[in-house]
Amino acid sequence: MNRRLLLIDDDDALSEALVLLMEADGYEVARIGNGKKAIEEIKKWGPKVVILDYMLPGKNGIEILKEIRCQTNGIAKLPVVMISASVNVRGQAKDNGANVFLAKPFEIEELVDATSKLMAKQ
Amino acid sequence: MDVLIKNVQTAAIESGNKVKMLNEVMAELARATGYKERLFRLAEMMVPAIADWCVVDIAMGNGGRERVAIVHRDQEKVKELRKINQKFGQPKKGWVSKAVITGRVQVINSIEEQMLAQMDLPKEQIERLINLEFGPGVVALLEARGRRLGTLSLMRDKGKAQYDKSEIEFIISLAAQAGILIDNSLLLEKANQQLQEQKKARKALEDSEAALRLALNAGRMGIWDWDINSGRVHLSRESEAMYGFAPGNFGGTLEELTGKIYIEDKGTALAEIRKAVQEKGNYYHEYRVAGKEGITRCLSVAGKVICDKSGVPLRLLGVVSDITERNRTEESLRISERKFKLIFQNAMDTIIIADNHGHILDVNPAGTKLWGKPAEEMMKMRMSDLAGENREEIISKWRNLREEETQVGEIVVTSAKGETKTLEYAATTNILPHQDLFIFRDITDRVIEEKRREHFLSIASHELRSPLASIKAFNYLAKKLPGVKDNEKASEHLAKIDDKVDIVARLISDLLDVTRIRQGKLEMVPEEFDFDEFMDEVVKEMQMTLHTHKISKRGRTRKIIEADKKKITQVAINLIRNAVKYSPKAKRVEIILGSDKDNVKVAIKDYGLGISKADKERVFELYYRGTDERKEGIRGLGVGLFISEQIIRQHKGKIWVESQKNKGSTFYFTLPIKHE
Repeated sequence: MNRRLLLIDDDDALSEALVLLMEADGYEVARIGNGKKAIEEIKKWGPKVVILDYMLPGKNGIEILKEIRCQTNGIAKLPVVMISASVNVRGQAKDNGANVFLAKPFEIEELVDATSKLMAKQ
Repeated sequence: MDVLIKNVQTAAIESGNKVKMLNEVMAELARATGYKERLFRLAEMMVPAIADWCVVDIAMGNGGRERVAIVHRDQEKVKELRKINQKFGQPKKGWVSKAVITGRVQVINSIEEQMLAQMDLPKEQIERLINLEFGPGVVALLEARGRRLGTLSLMRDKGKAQYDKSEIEFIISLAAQAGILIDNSLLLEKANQQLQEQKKARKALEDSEAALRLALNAGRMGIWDWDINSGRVHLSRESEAMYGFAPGNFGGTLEELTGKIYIEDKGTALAEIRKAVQEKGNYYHEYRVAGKEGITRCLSVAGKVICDKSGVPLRLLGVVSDITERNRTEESLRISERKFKLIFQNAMDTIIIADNHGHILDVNPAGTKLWGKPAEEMMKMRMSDLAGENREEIISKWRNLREEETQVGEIVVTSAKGETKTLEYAATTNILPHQDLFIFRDITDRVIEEKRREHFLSIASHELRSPLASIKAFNYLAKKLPGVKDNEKASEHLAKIDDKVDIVARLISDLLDVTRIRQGKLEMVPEEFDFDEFMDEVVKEMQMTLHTHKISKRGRTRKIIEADKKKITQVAINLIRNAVKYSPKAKRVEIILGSDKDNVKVAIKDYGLGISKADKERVFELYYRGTDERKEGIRGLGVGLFISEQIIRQHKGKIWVESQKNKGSTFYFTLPIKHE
């Protein structure tokens, strides 16, 4: 079983760090920085968990989340960890089916924990 | 000789007796009150001294006579005569009538049947009179000042001696004296009667005057009366007071009266008087006078010219009333109306008055400017027309207007120029009967500004937090680097970086929360959770990074609540962190959980500085910091408790503090239990 993660975040510094630490934990990580290619990338990469930022160029995280949940194949049930620097996205994220929401700056342990739990459920 | 002497002696005795008798009679008559009683007493004294019968008649005003006394020793005879008189009346041709008509004394030698028959009396009357056995008699006139007041009739029984000359003279003089006395008492009685009538009339006058005065007083009115010929002016007591004269101090001239009128008003006042006299018409004028103690009073004077039969004006008569208070009320009403008119005209807000069917009755300039329509046009519209495209929205919003006194809200309308405007409104129903008041404020600019600010805040928040996330991530990586994770010093430094990043993150978060609270936009995302488990987690988390204090927890709620878990965490952490912060010398913080049927209750107890009474009242205020914490060098923004209170309040819970200076504080909060 693969341990693929897709990280969708336009923040290069954060993404760099997250990719590094997730890889250190044994995940295979792909990262994109634009919302428009999200669904395409999911289909291509086939991740088990998506870490999705809210504020993205092209398409925001909530829109992407809605699209994921509307897919007909197994993608609709793909676990999503939503991260955002805006706290007021929390409600929308939950309403639209995000499995976990973490407000930036979050505790890295929280992200690691959440990811591994979601991965284990697969 | 003897006989002569005896006669003289008898005469002397008799004449002495007669004088004595006359004196007694007069004294007796003087004692009696009322002339009828006096005459009766007179009659009584005549019997039996000089007569067996005594009858007194007096003239009535109508030409008739009244028999006021009948005296005889035999009461049966008195009764019989009275009955005869009653039945047949007095003989019109009898001696009494004759005496009155001729004015002369009538001497009767005897009363015979044929004499009575000549008087045209009925047979029965004659028989009954004869049966009374009248003897000789004298009928004398009761006279005074040439007026015949009545008669005094004296008679003896049948068969007794005739009256001699001296007796007749005595009777005449007696009658004359009695006449005077009767006249006097009649005069006195009349005078008394007149006096009584006068008194009665005066009393009636006084009463009506008192009534008039009362009426005048009640209406704050007085009377004035100007006699045009003599130039004298009469003022009633009330009028005097109104013009500021001390009681009785008004001299009675028109000059004196008009001298009280304000110089500015005097000219027209005099002109009005002249005009009224000339036109013989009514007079009405209002003017100011220097009243009592020189205080200005406003008087209204109404009058009427009274003319003689040939139409020459005699008097100007009228009433004066003090209208100072009325004018004052009217003036203050005028001022207040002017004031409100000014407010209405110049208000920046739109003010609309509509009837309760929504027809616009009045709109101020701010309103015509806002909608870009002239007032006349707007006053043909209904309130719902004001919304333009959003008509339906406004109708549904104002459907329940009548159920509440004042409704406050926001609506979006389209102006005549097609601009969309956001308006804040306050609608108050029935400010006047069937009239509603609407006040609108154009908040379009404010709404745009708010949106801009909100956008800025969300960007700023994002831009500030994102780098912190990176720092934390790299810090995490650094901690795991070989050579670092075994290096105690390096790990410690990295942990400190983590702590400080958390503090910055929290400060940003707090400031954003405050902004959202003030905008009423602090979002809650409720979920159900087990409150005991939740508190266990919070305490565990806190304890992990807390090395100065031990957090002990006791009690259980065994309850599920529905709340925004993150926000409640924020409250709990904030209160625990405060407990630690304000008890630098203590080693522990206690948490006590409990519940009742409606709420879970949390107490967070510290053994620290405590809060003074003055500070206690204010700790939940925004930006408030206690005097002691500043002294102790404890840092903070003064927003934590404010945010906590807002969060708890939004959850319909309560938050409060109990504290003792230098002993510590206990903060409590409650949250409603989720009932199935």
